[in-house]
Amino acid sequence: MADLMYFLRLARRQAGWMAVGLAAALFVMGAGIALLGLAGGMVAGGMMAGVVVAGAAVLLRALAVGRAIARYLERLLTHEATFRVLADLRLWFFKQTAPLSPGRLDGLRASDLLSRLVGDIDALDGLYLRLITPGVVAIAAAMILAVVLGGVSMVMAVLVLGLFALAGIGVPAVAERAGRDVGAEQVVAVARLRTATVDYVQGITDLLVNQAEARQAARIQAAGHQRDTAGHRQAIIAAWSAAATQVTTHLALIAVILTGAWAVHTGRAGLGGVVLALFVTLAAFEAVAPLPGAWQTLGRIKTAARRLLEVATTEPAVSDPPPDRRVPVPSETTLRFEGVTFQYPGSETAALRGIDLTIAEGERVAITGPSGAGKSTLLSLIVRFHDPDAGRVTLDGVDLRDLAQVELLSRIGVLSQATAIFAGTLRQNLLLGRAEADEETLRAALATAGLDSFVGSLPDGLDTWLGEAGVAVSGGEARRIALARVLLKDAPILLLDEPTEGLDADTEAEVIQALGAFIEGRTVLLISHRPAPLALADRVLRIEDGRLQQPG
Amino acid sequence: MPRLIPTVAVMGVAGLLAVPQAWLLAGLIATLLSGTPAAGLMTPTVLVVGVLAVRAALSALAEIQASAAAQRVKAQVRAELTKALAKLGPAWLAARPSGAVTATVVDLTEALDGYVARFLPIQVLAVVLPLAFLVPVFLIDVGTGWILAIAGACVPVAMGVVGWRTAATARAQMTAMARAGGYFLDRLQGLATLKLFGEIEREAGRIAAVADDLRRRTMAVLRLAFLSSTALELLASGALAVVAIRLGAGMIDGSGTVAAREALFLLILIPEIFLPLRRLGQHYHDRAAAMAGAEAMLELLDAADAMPEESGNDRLAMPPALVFEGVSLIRQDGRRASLDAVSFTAGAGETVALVGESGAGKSSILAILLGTERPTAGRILVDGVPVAGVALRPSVAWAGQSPRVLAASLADNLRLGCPDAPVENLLTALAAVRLDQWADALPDGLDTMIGEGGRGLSGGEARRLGLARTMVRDAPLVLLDEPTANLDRTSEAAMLDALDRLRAGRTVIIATHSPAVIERADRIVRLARGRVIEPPAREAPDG
Repeated sequence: MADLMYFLRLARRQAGWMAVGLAAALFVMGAGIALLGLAGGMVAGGMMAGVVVAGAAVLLRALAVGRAIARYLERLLTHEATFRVLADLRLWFFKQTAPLSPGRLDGLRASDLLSRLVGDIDALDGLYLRLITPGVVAIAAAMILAVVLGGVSMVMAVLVLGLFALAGIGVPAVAERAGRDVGAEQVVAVARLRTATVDYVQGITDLLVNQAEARQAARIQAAGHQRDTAGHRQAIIAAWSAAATQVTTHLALIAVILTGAWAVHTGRAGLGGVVLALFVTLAAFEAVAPLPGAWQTLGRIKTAARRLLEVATTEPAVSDPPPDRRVPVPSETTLRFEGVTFQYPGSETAALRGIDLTIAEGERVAITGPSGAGKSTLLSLIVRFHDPDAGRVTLDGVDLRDLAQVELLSRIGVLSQATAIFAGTLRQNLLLGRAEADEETLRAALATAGLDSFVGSLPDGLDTWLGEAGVAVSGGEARRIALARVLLKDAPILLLDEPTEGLDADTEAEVIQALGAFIEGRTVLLISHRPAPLALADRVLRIEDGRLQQPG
Repeated sequence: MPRLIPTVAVMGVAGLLAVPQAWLLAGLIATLLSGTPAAGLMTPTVLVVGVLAVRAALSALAEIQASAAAQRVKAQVRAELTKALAKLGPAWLAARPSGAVTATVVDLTEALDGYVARFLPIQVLAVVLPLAFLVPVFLIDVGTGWILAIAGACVPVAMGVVGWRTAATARAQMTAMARAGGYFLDRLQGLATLKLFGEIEREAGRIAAVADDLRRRTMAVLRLAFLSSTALELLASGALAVVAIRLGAGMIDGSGTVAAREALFLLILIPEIFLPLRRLGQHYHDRAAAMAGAEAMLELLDAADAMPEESGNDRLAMPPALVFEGVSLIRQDGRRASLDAVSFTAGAGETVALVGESGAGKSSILAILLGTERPTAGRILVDGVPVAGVALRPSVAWAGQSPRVLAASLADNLRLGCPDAPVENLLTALAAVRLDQWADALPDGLDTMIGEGGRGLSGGEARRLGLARTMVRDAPLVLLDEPTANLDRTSEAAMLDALDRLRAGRTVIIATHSPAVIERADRIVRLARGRVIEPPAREAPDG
């Protein structure tokens, strides 16, 4: 329940919409009771001759129209409130997730995050729309019921309210209990189905070539079956709880008739009151009809909430210093590792052990070594994807942990194999490097990166859509786009992580040439196991098993 | 939908039971109003309870049956979709956002649930039940009958006016949903890059805009859906008010011809008459959602239908000799010719290196052999026999530049191309690519779950896993795309050793830049801009 409270607090921003929606829902319920009460009263009044109040017919018509219109508004308002909350939640989740990347997202990758961002947040719509609003409306209906019925007969009121509680609390509680595990299973099954499907769609070449597509399709089918089975079990619970609600409603009507007849017979109540009570009961029970179905989804809602919080409450691997300790980023760019030791969480061996390394301003240092020796870890400590376990990394003598990450990163350009090309136009992809760059600057960066002929081959030039559903970019082209981005960013510190890996010799030479002019005067840390880029460096160091080897 | 007939029949019977139920209930109330003591009410009470219990149970059973039918339909549609996707293959999928395709299989099929389980049955009942209910109404009071008939006749008009716009709006919302999913996936995959460029804040703004667009489109659909149900409610409560006034007034001035029990019966029955219609209105957007989804599904299924049915030849027993004769490939996006009259030969059991800049056509040659691309001209001879499409697939093992690590156990991943491979083969392959120590350190060894949601692999580890897969598959023709890229020298040496083992007794085609790999080739094919730039000939290794 604490999880759900957390999300209710998050929804505060839309409290206005929610309050208006709830008010409309209450009005609709009240109007419904008045409408039926009045209609029933009229007929009974006619039967008992002459009790019809003048103007009741007008009121009846007004209520009929007014209620339908209010119902429309109520639905619009409650849904508007809900979907505003969901949109807020998606943004909230993205903002919570971003600081976790990449240090804390191991084993939790994009498609899993996606199913939380889309599916789990969608599941939360029931919280306000189906649980809270109808719950409050049902309580209000119970109060009206108590007042009207209590005025006729206490026995009747107690009996009917007991049945009301049975339909509004008992049946929903049973449905909730029955739906709890099923709901959790639904969430897990959908995530499994999505993962298996993403594997199928993105891995189709591997699957086809290995003639394994039917086996993966069977995995999809199994996950789908799990979801369908859980969904069907939910349908069974829903069907029987609807039946229980229907029977309870009619039992309440019969209770009114029998206790009413008895009260009339013993002279303690008038017929008119009993008839009014009958129709008010009929209308009031409409308020409990949606409750079992809503409570049944509570399990699913809770699971979704837990899955969201699981990610959102993960402590980021690094965080910004508190404002009072924050130091402005120095203008000097000397980088220094001082006795740095670092071990990846969950790993058994240290990735870096007692690293001491100074890269003076304007110096170009290259690091070589076998894969897994700790080369990339050095870079990830400089951009603060992680913080050292012991020792410190400084920029002009200032511990990186005392700098705001955004400011630190604004001084650093990174070229690596892992650079993402986003679905969007080539221009949008380049503007990532410098948002305000003009056409000329973009063209110059593309030319330096050797992308002239590539841009020329694109149907819409800079405005060609790249990535999925656009022009497919080869590995070499992607690297050059990444290079152009780094050129545009024009940062004083450059981190080059295998900048020419996977490129053929000619392309490699071009990239190195472009970099050669660009890195002049910048502070550079280069990682490569290929010989060609090492020519860019002033000195070359070797790292092995997390230790720097002295040059010899 | 013949499997829904029993559902509709049971639901119909449950619906019709509203008539005796209302009649009994009206009798009870009329007796009450006439002042009969409570004791006289016992028999009708028992009857009413009995009828409504049967009615509730029948409704529940019918709903359960409808849900079961929906599950069967969904499973069938999913199976057809996955089969169609396999047939469409990588070339078709590459042109579409994988988030949207995934949504078609996962989310759009789910939209069928409401359509099959709720909309289809109620579509029939919404016509049949109100007409059936009108019979007793007309028998009791013709005036009330006409009021209800007219109100009922207004229903299709009101729904039609709203409905014609619903389809288009629902389609727009589906598109927005798929697009938002694709957008979110793309950005989540590139989080680290966004962070490095200080773009998180700005990106958050764009995420907010996409999420908000989704909300607006969803509300547009709901506004219409609510409008149709409001029209229905207006008609239902309007009819109730008019009938109540008519009956009540008739009794007061004594002009009425309707007796007390009949009047109460009519009043109780009116909501039941409109109930199926209201349900139809409620579930109308189930239909709209399903229809919009069906469009995306049909596009996919039709595209697959349009492709020729193909199957692989028998697996070759011996390493094949390959001849490319003037093979050209022009991709549909028309960006450039990927291959232009390429001819070369690979002898049986030879290792051939395809060398050239990125974009020179190396990957296209591999794609044609894999059957994921079709040459636009020329032909390929295997042991002197022309082959096309997927014919070679049973005889091919392949390791690409970014092997897909499936969310499954390490063993299942290794067995991708050979489901029955014994454990020893898996261990041998892991050792060959020097992943054996890494695998030993895994908590559950070969049964450790890897891939999405399991243990992550680095790029280099995934590459080596890919090569290990090809060894497990043990096919006579091996195609490798840059097997040693992304690896340092030590690991590269390990891969080269593995490659030497793989070469023995197989025909191997390798796209590569690595001098060490080229050194091992029996034959080198140099490519530039889709052409072979030197006559394919044995030449001295240039390492």
